[in-house]
Amino acid sequence: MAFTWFLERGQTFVKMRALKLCAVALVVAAGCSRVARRDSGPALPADAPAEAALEAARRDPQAGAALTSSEQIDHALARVTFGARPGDRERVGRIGVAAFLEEQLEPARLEDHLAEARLARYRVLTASSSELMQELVDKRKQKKEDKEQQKLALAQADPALAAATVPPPEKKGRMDQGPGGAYIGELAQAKLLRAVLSERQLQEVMADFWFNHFNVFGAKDRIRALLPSYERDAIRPNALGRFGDLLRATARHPAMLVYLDNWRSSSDSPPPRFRRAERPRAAFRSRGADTVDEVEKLRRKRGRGLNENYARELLELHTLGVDGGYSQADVTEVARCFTGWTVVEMQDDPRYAFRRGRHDFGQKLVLGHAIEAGGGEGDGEAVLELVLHHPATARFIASKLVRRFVMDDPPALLVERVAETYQSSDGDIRAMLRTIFASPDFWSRRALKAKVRSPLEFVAGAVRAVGAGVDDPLQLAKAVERIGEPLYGAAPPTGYGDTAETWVSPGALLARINFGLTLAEGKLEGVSLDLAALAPVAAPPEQVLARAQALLSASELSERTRAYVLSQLGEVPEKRRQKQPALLAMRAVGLLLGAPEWQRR
Amino acid sequence: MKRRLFLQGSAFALATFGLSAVPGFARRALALEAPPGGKRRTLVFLFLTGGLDGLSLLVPYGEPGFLELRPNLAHPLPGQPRGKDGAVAEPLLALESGLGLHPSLKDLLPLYQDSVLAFVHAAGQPGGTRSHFDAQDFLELGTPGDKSTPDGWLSRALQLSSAVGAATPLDAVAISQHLPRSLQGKSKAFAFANLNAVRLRPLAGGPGGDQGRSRARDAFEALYASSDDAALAAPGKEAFEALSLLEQRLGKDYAKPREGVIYPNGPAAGALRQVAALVKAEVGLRVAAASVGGWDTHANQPGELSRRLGELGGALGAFWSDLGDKQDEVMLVAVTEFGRTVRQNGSNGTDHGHGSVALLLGGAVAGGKVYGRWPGLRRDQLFEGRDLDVTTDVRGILAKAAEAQLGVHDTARLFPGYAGDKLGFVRG
Repeated sequence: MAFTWFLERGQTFVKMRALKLCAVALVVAAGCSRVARRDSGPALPADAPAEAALEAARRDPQAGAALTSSEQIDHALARVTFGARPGDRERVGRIGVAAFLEEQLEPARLEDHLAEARLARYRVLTASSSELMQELVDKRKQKKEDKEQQKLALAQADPALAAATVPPPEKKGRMDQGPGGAYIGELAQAKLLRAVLSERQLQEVMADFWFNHFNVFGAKDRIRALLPSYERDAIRPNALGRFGDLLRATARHPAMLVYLDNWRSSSDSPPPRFRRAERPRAAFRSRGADTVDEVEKLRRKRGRGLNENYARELLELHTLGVDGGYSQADVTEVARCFTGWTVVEMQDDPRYAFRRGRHDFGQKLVLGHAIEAGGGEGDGEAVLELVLHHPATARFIASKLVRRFVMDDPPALLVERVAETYQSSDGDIRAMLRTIFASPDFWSRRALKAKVRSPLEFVAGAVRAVGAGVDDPLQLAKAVERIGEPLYGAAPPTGYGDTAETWVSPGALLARINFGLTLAEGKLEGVSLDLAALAPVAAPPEQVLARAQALLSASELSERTRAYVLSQLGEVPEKRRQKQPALLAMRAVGLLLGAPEWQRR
Repeated sequence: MKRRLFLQGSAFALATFGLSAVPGFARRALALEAPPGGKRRTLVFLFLTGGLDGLSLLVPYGEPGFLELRPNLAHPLPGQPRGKDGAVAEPLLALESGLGLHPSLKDLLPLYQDSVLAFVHAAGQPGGTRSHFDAQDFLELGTPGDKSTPDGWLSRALQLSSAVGAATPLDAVAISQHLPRSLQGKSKAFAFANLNAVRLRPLAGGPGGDQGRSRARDAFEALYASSDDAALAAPGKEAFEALSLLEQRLGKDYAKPREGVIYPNGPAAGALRQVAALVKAEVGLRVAAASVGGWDTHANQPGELSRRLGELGGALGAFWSDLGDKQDEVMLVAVTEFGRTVRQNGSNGTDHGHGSVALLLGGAVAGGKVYGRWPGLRRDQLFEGRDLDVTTDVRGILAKAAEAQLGVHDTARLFPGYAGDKLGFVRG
């Protein structure tokens, strides 16, 4: 019964949304002629992967033979999860690749008790922004009081000493500054646990993907207190939903408004009621401003003026893409539309609000569409709908998805097809992924192992592959940082790059190799691993290597690599092996995790 | 020249026999060959983050009314007796008429007198941002006001460099966990927080220590060298070359200073002793970047700043002595993202401001001088009515340094949008 009710409610909701969308679309002259499809497209047929693989081989014989069914399983696991665990391959083989992909596309149907139970200890995952913000304010107050108390105590004991006492040096790295650093620490550990443990792997892959797409960096405590809600409320619920919902949710979230400065943006011209009375000017004069220049400077100092930061990134990074055909004038006009979209009660209950007093009520011209004067909050909404329905956005989002799931240099035809799905499905992310998962490009031999693992994919993938238990993910988070991409640590609004060259540097490779060696030896704090089963005492090196390869799905090792690793295994003295049977397996897994082959997925 | 060609030829010929046949010394010798027509020069970019108070580093005590704006921050004037007690006791060091050096920087005075150290007063970036985050990004990207620049200024400098010589795996380094924005881009750079940690863990079941590390390197070097995966084999090659270079050149205690040189404890010293070690080891270092924070002195500025400046001065002094006969090859430029308010605030500190001081140290620096045009501190001379104005764009300083050390002549490409001059602080 409850299920039907849910469906009905869903339909009403959809209808209302459709009406609203059409209304807005009319306003921005996008037109309503194409009726958007409301479902996420049909499920993948069971034989779709195999047929697409055959089709890929027919179209592009030079790439080699069609993927075997075992390769299809490996490929599917490598692309929609953070890496296969022991047993995953067998399971996918049993239920079928298409069914596995469908399962991952509908994460709500997957039980995830284990991960959920382990996440319960991270308070920021459930705490509201206002709780976290108030806690910060309290902590700061406490710190100040402590300092004064300390000084007072010292002064009573020895006045000269008190005067000379300087506060202890604080670590001023971008990440460690202030008590809000702990919030980021919890978020990072939770992300790692989810990546390693969650059954809803595609959901986690996409949550990471969209967070990076709509990146917000916690440079200051203020943003750090807002980030947990940003991820929980704006990103995660929409990770496999509609792109438009993601865009609307991020546009109004205090974290984004603060990070990209829109909360400070206001009309360059004072509101009309002020202009008549010339009140601001008089007010500034009394503060000693004589010239027009100074009036302008003082006005800026009081926090008035247009800020284009969000407008620019909205067009360049979130929707149209840098080549999306907009101009600097468009950026300014978009910024005018978003004036008044701000955050109120920052210290107590930070939340989005529209402030008429900051809004520019004049007429705007965005991407050739007029937005009439006198609009208000709707101006920004109209911009969002306008860019959502822009073909450049469809292409840009499609190309990013194809780059993530297929290869760094996305095949143009597939991008076009995914862009078409974007347009016909109203930006349905599931539908776009289905288009990718059904395409010959996805199942082409050229796509197999074409992606280098990102630092997070490498660390989470290694832990999953060897079946390690994670008691404390802190060391894993630190490893991701050493390998080059601290979680929640991308400072620029672009987020981290999504191609191999951003992940592969000499220093990062050494960090990868060391991580693999440490993990394989079971020397990583908070992570438990037993490789003894891989290497019974009497097992010859060939057998240990074969088992290690199977564990890591590293079946495609070149003959040279295999021979070399074997020779390395032969160097472990027999005596030491007798004492510690797992040594051989540790060495094999350590070498394989650091080898070039395993850097790809 | 002939030797260089011979080595290239021999390395090429040997490569066909597989990696193990290439003697390590041949590869290393190739990498370390000095560029024809001169020594390899090194540019050190030291970023003092947090907003350094230039008005405390180089105090314009001769400026009418200035000391009154900072009653609790002032030091006794040069030559005057010590103050009564507390941290502000030491008198300023006389530098030029009306301008005094912070007493904690006493280690810099001999360098200034030797004319290898110079300052630029009222240096900074255009634009009025007082956000650390924005201002730091702007400076590292070299494009004030524009955060969308894809690469950092040092990365562009390396790409534009006309200083020839084979690229080495330690061409450009950052003394930090991650590559700073200034070095992000198309050029390659190696980031490490601690040179001693740039080494591999020994393989399980084998010998430990240096022998184990060296075996681990050989093992992975072979795995990467035999790989058909060019995207991974190339950086792998660089990584293992860097490792062997460091093993070969630096010995056990990587960052050991020259006999008799004592670095203070602190972040500036920690970074600079590693830079000096790389320069002395002749690993082919062209660019080194490091950042040192803690300059955001909103409260209790006198004690805090004295301590940090003391460490900075001591570190620079030790760095210079440590370099020894390599002093001529090195130029260090220290800058900050912005200065601080002229007037002290309510908690014996200063808030985010505008213009500050840049510091130049190097054999090629025409030092013993304070560069820049003094903008004055009268209310109408201040930036937005409160801060020291900027009269020298840091890009003009950095462009000159890049020209002198790296042979970068195309300022327009080094700093897109910068039409100003280069500051002429280089000898000759």
